[in-house]
Amino acid sequence: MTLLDQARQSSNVIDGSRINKNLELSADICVIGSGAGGAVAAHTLVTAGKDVLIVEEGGYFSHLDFSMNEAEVYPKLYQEGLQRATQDLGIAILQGRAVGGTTVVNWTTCFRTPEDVVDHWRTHHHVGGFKLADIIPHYEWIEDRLCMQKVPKEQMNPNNRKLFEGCKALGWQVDTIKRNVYACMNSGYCGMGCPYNAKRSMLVTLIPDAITSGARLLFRCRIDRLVENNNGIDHAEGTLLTTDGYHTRTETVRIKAKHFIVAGGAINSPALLLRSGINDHDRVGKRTFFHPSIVSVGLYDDPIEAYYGAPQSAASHHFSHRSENVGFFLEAAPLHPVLASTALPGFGFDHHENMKPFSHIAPHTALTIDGFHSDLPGGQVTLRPSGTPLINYPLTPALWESFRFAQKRLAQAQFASGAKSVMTLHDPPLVMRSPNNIADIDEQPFETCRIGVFSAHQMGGCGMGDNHQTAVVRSEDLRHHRLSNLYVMDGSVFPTSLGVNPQQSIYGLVRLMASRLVERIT
Amino acid sequence: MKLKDGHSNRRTFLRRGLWGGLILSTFGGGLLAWPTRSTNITTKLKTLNTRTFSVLCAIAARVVPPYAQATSKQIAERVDALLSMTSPETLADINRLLILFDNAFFGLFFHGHFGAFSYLSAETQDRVLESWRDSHLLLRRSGYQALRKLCLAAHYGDPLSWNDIDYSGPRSTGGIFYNDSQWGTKAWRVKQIKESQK
Repeated sequence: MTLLDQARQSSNVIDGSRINKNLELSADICVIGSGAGGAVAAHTLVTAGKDVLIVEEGGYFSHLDFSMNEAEVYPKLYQEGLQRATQDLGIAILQGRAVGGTTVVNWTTCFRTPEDVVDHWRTHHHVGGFKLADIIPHYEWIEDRLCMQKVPKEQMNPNNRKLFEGCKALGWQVDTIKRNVYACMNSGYCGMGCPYNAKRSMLVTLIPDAITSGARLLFRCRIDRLVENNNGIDHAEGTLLTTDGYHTRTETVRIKAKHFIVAGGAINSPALLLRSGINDHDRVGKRTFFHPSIVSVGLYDDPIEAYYGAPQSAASHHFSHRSENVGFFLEAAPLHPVLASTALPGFGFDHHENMKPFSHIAPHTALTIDGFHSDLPGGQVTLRPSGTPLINYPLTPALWESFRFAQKRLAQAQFASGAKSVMTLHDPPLVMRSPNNIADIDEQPFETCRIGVFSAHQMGGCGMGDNHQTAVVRSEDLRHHRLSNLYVMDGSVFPTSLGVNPQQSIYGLVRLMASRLVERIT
Repeated sequence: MKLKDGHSNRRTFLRRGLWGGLILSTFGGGLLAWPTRSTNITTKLKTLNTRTFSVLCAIAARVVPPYAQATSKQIAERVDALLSMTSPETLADINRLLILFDNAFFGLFFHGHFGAFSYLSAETQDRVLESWRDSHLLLRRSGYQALRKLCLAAHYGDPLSWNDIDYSGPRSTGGIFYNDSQWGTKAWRVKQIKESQK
């Protein structure tokens, strides 16, 4: 029996969809959300002897539920069944929704926060509450617990190898990356939950550890609002959900706690604060960052089968710093039929022609680094009348310039690694047959909904900083500036994007801050 | 920094959004309703109504590959189920969009084809889809992308579609999984050391 199986059988676990009465619960600490932030916070607190209740909206699954069939898995594991997007549909947003959050479906790429990013936060966003050195021991701890290891070059799948070779041929910086896996079978289905229980996500590591240590978990429960009382949060109110996890039932939940930690991620955390009327200085939901990404599709003679093998094992940060222009980094992306079909342009016969060489195409992506330029203030999370999050992200000229530049670099690298043609995700697409055609990218329209733009990394919206007029939470402890028992501990606290995949940055920062909370309330 | 061709900025986005909203409220509100070619519905719809379901069937017939095994009705049924996971506002937008898509006057105004989409010839329907795709109005482009993606996701989620694209599907796990129950124990640590020394 796995650690997860043992935890799921614990009497500490409550399935909200099976409760037929209104619930009244209490705890020392209520953690809302169980992803990279919530799981680490809960684990740190419960292992220090605190009484912790974790509340999660999504379902509680195991490797046996991960069928590797997109139609079955996406509705279970992704926000809005993988249909989450900005209001104008300009950016498709991939974000997890289950016990374990996005860590259940991410592509296992691990980076520590770059030092220059933390420096930027200190100099531009009044983040003086910690130094990168303070987080290092927590990085080391999580690297050990989640078995983060650099991928050996020989284990790269053909998709990543093409990116690696293309960058090398052009003399660009490129390297293999760390992944949080153990006994990985390289199936290629990380994005649908690991069927081998090999991915060391929060679902199979810190959540079971926390439950074994005494934490309680209530899943399929949506927290609707936090209710204030005397400069603090008095209680949380929520609704229990149906077994599909999407529809509300009449049964409600009321949770009293001494401390509340909001950890729903960069879209749901600001949405919860907004539903609760907590929006001092109108900062909540602002400066939301996505690493908006474009894709270049290389067609190769040899089979690529981008759906098999570790989804990501190489990355290039050669273009991360472009002085006054917006930087970006390059990674490979896995490809499965549903994801590919919605990304590839066209309809009917034309679309089918684009899909036909499915096993021979390599999708490589450029992830722009948003939040560092005055022309790129990020997006905003507000609320729809139903209380669900509404996401807007203006794609500014600075971003389009970066996309255009990146599109050329991606094509260059794909031709350098032997692609016989390269296609953009414009609709209709530009198909380049040789490097001589790369200049044609300048003639393409870089406009919203004329080219596919994606986000797999959501950050910001409840930014940290020591100025209460510009930040939502304090940087010394991630406590809300006004409310004395409310904390936000997830990727929403980042004042900018990171320029690297965010999971490890969240783990490290949250573990530091949860440790400080333990000291404070002991 | 200056871009060569049409770029989007906040002001143009707002202008297009407001203009689009005006069009939606005028044409989509039923004021200029036009009969839709109806589809025989045998399942209980979760999110669409009989009219919007019929429009979606007509769109699906042009969007999914011509050799698709699933019928456009099956595609539309799957989309109906997919939409149950979205917000009530998104659902309402999709229903309005489908009514707009089939509106004869809207068609005449924007792409010169008078007649409900569901009654047009296949070739004309393709021209209409292209006009939405290439529109200067962000609202029309996003509407096209929304409907296109929903239909394609519904089609390629079906393993029967995979043969066409030479995708053999996931390999069986053979019941293999990593049993981590011993993680962190002394026995586990000893095994780790032994493996690292190999």
